[in-house]
Amino acid sequence: MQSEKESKGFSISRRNFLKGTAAVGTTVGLLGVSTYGLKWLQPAQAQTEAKEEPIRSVCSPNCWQTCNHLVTVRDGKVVKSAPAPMPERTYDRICLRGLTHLQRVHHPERIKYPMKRAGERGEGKWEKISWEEAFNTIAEKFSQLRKQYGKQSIAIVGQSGNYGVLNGGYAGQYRFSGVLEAVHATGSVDTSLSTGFAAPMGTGIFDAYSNEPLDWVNARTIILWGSACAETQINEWHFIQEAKEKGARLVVIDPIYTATAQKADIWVNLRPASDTALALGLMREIMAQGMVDKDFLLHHTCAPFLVRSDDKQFARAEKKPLVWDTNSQSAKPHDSSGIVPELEGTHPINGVACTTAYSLLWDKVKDYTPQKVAELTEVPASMVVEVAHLLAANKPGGIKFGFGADRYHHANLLGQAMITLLGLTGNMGKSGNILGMAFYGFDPMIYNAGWLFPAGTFPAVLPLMRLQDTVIKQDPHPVKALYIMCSNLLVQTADRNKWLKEVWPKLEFVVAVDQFLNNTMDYADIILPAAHYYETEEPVLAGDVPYVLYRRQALEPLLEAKPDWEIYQGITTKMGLGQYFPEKLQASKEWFDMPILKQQGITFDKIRQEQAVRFLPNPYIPWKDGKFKTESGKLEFYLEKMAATAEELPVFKWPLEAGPDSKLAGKYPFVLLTRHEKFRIHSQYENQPWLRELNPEPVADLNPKDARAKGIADGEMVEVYNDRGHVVLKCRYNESIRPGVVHIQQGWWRYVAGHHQELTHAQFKEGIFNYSFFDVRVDFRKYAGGELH
Amino acid sequence: MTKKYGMVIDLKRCIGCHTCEIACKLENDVPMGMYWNRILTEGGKYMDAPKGEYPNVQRGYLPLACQHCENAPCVKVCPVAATYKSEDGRVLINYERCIGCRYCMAACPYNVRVFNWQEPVRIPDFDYGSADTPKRKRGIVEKCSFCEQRVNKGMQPFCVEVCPARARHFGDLNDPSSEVAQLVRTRKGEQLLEDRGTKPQVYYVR
Ligand code: SF4
Ligand code: SF4
Ligand code: SF4
Repeated sequence: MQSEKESKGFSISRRNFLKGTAAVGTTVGLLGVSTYGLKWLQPAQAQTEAKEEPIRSVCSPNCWQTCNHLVTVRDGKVVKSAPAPMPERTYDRICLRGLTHLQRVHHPERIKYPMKRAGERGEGKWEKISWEEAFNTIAEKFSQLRKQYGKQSIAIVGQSGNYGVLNGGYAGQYRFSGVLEAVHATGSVDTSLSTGFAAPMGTGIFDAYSNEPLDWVNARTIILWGSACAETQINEWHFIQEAKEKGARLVVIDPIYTATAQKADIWVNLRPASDTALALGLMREIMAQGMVDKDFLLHHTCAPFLVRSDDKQFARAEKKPLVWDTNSQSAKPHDSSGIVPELEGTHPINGVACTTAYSLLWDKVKDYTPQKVAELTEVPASMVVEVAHLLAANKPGGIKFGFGADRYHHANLLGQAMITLLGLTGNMGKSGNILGMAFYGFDPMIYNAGWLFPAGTFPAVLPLMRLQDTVIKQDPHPVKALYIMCSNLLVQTADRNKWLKEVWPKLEFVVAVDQFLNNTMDYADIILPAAHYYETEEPVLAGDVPYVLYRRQALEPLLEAKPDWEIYQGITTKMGLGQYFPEKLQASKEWFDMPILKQQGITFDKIRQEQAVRFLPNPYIPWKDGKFKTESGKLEFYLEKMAATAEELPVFKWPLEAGPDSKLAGKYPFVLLTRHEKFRIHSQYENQPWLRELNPEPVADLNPKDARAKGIADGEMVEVYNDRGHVVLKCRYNESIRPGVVHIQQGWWRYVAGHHQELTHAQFKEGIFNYSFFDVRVDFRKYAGGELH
Repeated sequence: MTKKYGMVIDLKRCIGCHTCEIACKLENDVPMGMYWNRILTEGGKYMDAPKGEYPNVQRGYLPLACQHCENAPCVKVCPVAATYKSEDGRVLINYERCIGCRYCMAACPYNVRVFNWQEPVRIPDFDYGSADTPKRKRGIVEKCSFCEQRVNKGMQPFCVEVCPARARHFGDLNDPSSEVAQLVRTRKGEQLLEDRGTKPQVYYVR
C-alpha cells in the first residue's frame, strides 16, 4: 500500500494500526446493523457515587514480587485491583497478571465444591461431596495408611503457588506435614544455581544476600544472566531502567532475544548451556589483565588461603585457614594482625606443598582465553573481553540471575562462578551492587522453627524430584498417598509420563487442592476447592521487598472454597491433631513472634494495621563490613567440601543433554527451552480470559531457517518429540529464537496431544536435586494428525 | 490558560508488557474482544516477534490508544456531536448521544475506536472498574477517555498509575513546568502520523 506513508521514524504504518494485537475480535460476532434496536439510545442510568473502601491484599505467586493490591469489592464482587501504596512508593506495583484477579475469583470454571472421582483417573468424572465427607475420607484413609505402612506413607507435595504463611507452600504446609510426620516433598526448582552462588557466602540459598532493588539504581554495570526480568520480575525492571538512565551499562546473557535482551547495551546471545564457559572466560580476562580488586580479595575472600596439595583442604593452624605472610615469610592464620597476605604462590608447610586459592583458581581458568570461550559459547571474543572489563572497571555493578541458566545439570558451578566473579571484582557490600537475587522472605523468618513444628514432630523432607523414584521403588519406605497443594505438579515438574505411567499406579490415594481443574487435578481421587489470595487473611512472606507483609481478607471464599489452613484444621481435627491449627489470627500473631521484629518494636497490631512494615535498614546493603557467614568470615569461593568431586572451584562441563557433545545430538539436534513469559507465573493465570485474548494458545517458536529446512510452514502443526514423549502444537516462525533451539512457553496446562513436560527428564546431580528443564534434546516434524509418536 | 491534557509514552522504557492494556480494560469496564489501548510490536509479523535475522534482530513496542488530537477528525465527522473536544483538551464521547454510525471510526487514522457490535460480553459478567466509569451499550462506539472518571477527580489515568516500567506520563501540555511538557521539550516528543495534521496530544519519546 504505497499511499500509506510511514510516520516519521516509526516503522508502524496505518496498516499496522488496523491489524491490532493478537486475536482481537475473535469473541465478537459481526452482528449486522439490522439486528440492533433502539434500546441503546435510552439514557444511561444515573451513576453511583458510592464510597468504596478498598481492602489491602497481597498477590503472591512465585514471581517473588509480592505486590500489595488494593482490592475493591462491590456488591460482593471483586471489581478492581490496583497497586497499594508501599512505605517506599518506588515499590508500588502490579502487573498484567495481577490486574486480572477478578477473573480468577469469579471465574466460571472455578471448582465449586469438594469432589470425589467417579470414573477412572484422568477421565474427568466427578461427584460432589460435602466438606464433612471429604475430611472424613481423607482422615480415615490417612489413618489407615499410617497404621498399615507408617507415617511416611503419606507425602505432602508443595511448590511455590502461594507465599502466604498459613495457606501457602512454605510455612503452614510444613506445619501440616510436621504434625503428620509425613514426607514433605518440595523444592528441586531454582536450587542449583543458587546453591553454588550462596555457599561461598555461607548463607541459605534464598537468604537476604542482595542489596534491595531501590539501591540498584546506583549500579554502573548490570549483568542480567539468564533473566527475562522485564517479563518475569516485571516490577524490578524499572530500577534497572533507572540505573541505565543514570548511565549504567546493561548486559543481558540469554540465547533468546527477549524483551529484556532488547533493552541491553550488550546482548550476549550465547549457545545454550555454555554459560559457565563464559563465566570462566570473564574471570580469566579480569585476572589476566590484573583488573581484580586485590584489596577485597586479600581481606574479604579466601583468595590468599593456602590449600594443601594432598587433601585439597585449607592448611590450618588452630582451625584457622593459613595465608602466606610476605612480611615474615611464614604461614599465619588468615586473621592475624599486621600481616600482608600473599595472593599468588606455593609454599611448603610441614612438608606439604600449599598453594593459594587464587593461584588454583587461575589454574582452572587460564585456558579459557577469549578465543576458546568464543568457540564454546559462540559469543565473539571481543564481547567476552568487553563484558569482563565492564564488570571489573565500570563499578559498582552486579549480576542478577534469573533461573534460565539454572535449568541445566551442573548449574551449581555457574552459580559458584558468578559469585567468584563478584568477589574478584570487589563489587560486594557497596551501594549499586546486585547479588544474584533480592529475596527477603526466608531470612530470617523461615527459621521460625517453633511455629513450623509446634508438636515437636517433623516431616521427612524430600527433594521433590526424588519423589518419583521413592514412590516407584517404594523405597526406603512405602509411599501410598499424595496430598498436593500450591502445585500444578504434572505441569511444573519433569517427565510427566513417568509420573502417570509409573508413579500414579502405585498410589492408593491422591488429594489435590486448587482453584481450577488443571491437569494435575484430573488425576486426583479427591479434589478440594482452595480459596483465592483475596479470600484469606494471613502474613505473607516477602519476595524482593524489604518488608513484612500482611494480607487482609477482601471477601469471603466464594462457592464452597476454603483456605488451606481451614482444610488442615478439618483433616487434623478428625485425626485428633486439631490443636496444632488454631484460629487464623492467633496463628498469624504467633508467626510474627520473632526476635528481629521484637527488637524493632514491630508488633502484630502494627503489622495488621499497616500491612507492609520495613524490617531491614533503608537502603538494605548487606556485607558492608566485608564479613560473610562462612566459618572464616570471608567469601569462600573455594569450596573445600566439593574437593571430593573436583568441584572445589568453578569448572566448566557440558550438561547431560543440551551440549554439543551429547550422544543425543545426532538423533535430537534441537535444545528445548521452556522459558517463562509475561502471560503467566508458572502455570498460574493460564486460563485467565484477558490473558488468553492476548496469548491464545501454545506455540513452538522456531527459527524460520530450522522450520523451513524441514519443509514446515509458519503456523503448521508440529510434533516435538524425543524418546520420553511428545507434544503437538502450532509452530510460529520467530527470529528471537536461536537456530538449534525449540522454544515453548512453560506453564501451559493442555495441548492437542502430549505435553511439553513429557519431553523433560528428572535426572539430577547427586546432592543438588534440581530439575534441569532446559537440559533437554528434541527433534520436531510436521504433524499431520493420525498416528502419534 | 486553559488546560490541554496530554500523555507522553517513553518507548525507551516500555517493555511491551500489556499491563496498561489490561488495566484499561479493568478500569473502564471494557468487554471481551475490545481494547481501548493496545500494545503493538514494531518488528515481525507476530506479537513480540522481532524483525531481522537472528541475531541481528530488532524489536520495539508501541502502546496505542486515542491520541486525543487537537485537530480531531472524529470530532468533525460526528453528525450528532457525541464525540467532542472538552475544554481541557480531551476527546470524549457522550455515550448517550452516540448513534453508532461509525463515521468517527472511519475518520480516525489510528484505528483506536471500537464498536459494540453485540451485547458486551464480560468475564466475569458484571460491570467492573471504577463505579463511575460511564456505561456503554451495544451499538455505540467507545475509546480511551484519558480515564475521564479519574482525571475529573484529579487522579492520574489508571494505565499511568500501573505501568511497571514507569513509561507513561500524563498532565497539562500547556503548563511548561509539567512533566509531560518538559518531556516533550527535552526529549523531542514525536507524534504519530504527523503528516495527517491531526496534532495528537499523545507524544512518544525514545
Ligand atoms: S503476578 Fe507477581 S508481579 Fe503480578 S501482581 Fe501478582 S505478585 Fe505482582
Ligand atoms: S504498561 Fe508500560 S511498559 Fe507495559 S506495555 Fe504499557 S506502557 Fe509499555
Ligand atoms: S488513559 Fe485510561 S482510558 Fe486511556 S488508555 Fe489509559 S487506562 Fe485506557
